[in-house]
Amino acid sequence: MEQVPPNPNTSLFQLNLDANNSYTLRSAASWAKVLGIVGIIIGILCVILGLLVQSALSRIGDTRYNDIGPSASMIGNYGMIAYIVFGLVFLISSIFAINAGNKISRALRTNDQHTLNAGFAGVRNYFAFWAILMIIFLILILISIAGSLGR
Amino acid sequence: MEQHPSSIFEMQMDNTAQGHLLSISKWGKFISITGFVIGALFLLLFAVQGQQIVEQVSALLTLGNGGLAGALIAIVIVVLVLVGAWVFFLFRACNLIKRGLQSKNTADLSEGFKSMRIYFVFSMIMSLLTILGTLSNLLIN
Repeated sequence: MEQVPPNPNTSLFQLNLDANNSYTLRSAASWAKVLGIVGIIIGILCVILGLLVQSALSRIGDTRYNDIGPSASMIGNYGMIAYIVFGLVFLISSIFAINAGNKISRALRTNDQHTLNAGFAGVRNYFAFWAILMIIFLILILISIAGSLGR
Repeated sequence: MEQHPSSIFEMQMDNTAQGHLLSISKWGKFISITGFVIGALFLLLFAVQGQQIVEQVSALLTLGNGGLAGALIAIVIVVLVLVGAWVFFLFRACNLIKRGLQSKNTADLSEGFKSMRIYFVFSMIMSLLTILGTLSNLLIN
């Protein structure tokens, strides 16, 4: 019978985080933290931009394109809401990323299993958040396609 | 070979950690596959109606239809390649992490974490580009 050579990287009973794994995981966690910080900056900038767009368009007031359609101030309000929602999405996902990065780094430093689990849960929440947003985005696209076909 | 500082006490991946990692790989794979599908649909749309899109965008930007249409196509291709690489690394990370967990192979797991790090680096670069875009919008306003 053919003998299968043992794999030195394989453990029969459990999976350990060896030095190499810890190093790459710590590095990934550091980048997740940086990504979170950049995301928070984007979120804040989006909120500021939304407020600026709203104030710029509200100065124009009730002016309408060709005297029909929504007024400039109403478009400004919609723009502000869109920018703020966009900013909030970035802020929330960035908080998940920073939390996960911090917890994984701390867990690897202190060899704390519970903190490591909490860090992995944070990464899971980060990906789940974006996946759910993607599902909502796809549903909205489908609704808009169905709406345009129904006309 | 590159040596990294090691601890005498290696951390164990208990069942909860492995469950979280499996969950990460499932959500990540969903995001990456959806990204591939959206990218393919976008390419299909561009292949079918590319000429019309270029003409309309050129007219909108009052650039004319000449050489700048090529620049527009080049920008679209660069963006698609960047996004494609970004999504690919997420897909690779999720596959390797799942395989590493199933076969209890730490080398696969390590490669998975490396791919995830590259994914985070790509995400950060794209976020920086978004910041630049937002700042330019702010300055225009």
